Amino acid sequence: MNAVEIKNLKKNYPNFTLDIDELKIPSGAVIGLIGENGAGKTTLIKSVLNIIRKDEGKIMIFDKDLEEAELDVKEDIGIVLDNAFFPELLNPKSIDPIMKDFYKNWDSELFHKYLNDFGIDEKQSLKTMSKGMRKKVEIASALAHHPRLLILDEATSGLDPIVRNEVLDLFLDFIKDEEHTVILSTHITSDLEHIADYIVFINKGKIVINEERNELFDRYGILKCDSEKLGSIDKEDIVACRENKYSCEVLVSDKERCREKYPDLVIDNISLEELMLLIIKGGK
Amino acid sequence: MSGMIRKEICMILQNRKFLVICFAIYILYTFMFDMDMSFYLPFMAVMLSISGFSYDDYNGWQTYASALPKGKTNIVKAKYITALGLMIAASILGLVLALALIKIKGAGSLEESVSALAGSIVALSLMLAILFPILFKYGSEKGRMALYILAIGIAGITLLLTKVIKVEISPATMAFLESAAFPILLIVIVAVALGASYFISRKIYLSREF
Repeated sequence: MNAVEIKNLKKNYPNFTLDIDELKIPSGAVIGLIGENGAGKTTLIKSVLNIIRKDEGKIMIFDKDLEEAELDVKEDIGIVLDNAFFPELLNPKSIDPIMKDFYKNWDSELFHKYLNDFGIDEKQSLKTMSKGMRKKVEIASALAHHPRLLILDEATSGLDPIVRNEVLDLFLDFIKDEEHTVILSTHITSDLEHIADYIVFINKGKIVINEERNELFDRYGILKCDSEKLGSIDKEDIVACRENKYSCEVLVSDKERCREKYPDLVIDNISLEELMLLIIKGGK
Repeated sequence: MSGMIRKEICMILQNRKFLVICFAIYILYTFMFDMDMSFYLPFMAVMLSISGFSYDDYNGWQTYASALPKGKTNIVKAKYITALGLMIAASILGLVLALALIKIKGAGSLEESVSALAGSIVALSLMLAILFPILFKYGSEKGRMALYILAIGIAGITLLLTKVIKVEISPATMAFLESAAFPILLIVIVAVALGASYFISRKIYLSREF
């Protein structure tokens, strides 16, 4: 079963259009959503949460139409949004009864357990908490109603490496039973290299890459050469290319074939950050 | 929806130290100068409700709540219920203090206090009815501007009617104002205004994007 299925989604703004032909997010996986600021990640997330109105298209969540079964569907979704949570005057203790009213399956015990595990003082106001602590409260709030789908927009940004690691472990634990799904939008691409099963790369409102993580790293490579040798590479092998003063970086989509084809050139494995940079900043 | 109302009340209670100080000053003034200021309490309650919008905007609460089940409709309902509930509670408290002033110091009269409170409730309800749809549409910043414009507008119109045009109340109008029909008319106006305001706010909010 797919956790999320999107078809022909369009959302128009004066200077930007989100245009997704098709996106299928399978259950039981961590999906990493990457792209530069303003690429359309948050617009996609907000469309899935139905807090912006789409102009065209259909969004199905767990085989239910989002518009027809919004209340039902939202019961199954846990959210951590960027810069959007309870007013800072409140504390975790006061959040618990409020959330109970939103979710039928809200589990106060589980919420308190998460807070306890995270070392959060329930009486401390959100205002006086560090960014990391606040994020932990947001994550506990997202998990305490037993959601099947967790949508996280920049949930790990601003966290120190230790807390980030703890949080990523929690997400991995969440999908262990293969019925739960995580959509994680982040600029910290190294996090996704560790935990994502699929990578969805959005650029200028369109999906440019939607692939299984391992396959993506197996296929794509970065070829480094000087500008003289660049001319000897077939145009069809170049996905994107970036030239600087002394050398060129070429993104290739079939690393092994290119290694055989250009045995005298070095083709390295690529990181998600390099992939993003080359596709966004590079030319053909 | 009780959760949303709880959230509004929780937020107001977080400022309880400030509220207690304000209330203490209020009691002090009332008994020191033998002055019934009970109309001031519902005004303060409404201001507190309006200030909740600023906190919500600042922390992105409306975006977050809209993404939760039943979020959007409950936000609107809770804001109206909380504001009106607080206003009524503050009015009752004001009346109790006015009675205490009459009983302890023999100052003021119950009739005057009730009239002043009723006048405040009507004026504040109408203010809420105008202001809430603006706050839901444009957020707290522009909403605050609307509040200032509304206050200046009302003061300006009152000044115009009393000092410039010098409108005189005819005996027939006076008789109507003193009749039992007038409060009923006011109740109907307030109810219609608040009802219409709620439906407009709900419509605005359901179509608003976050």
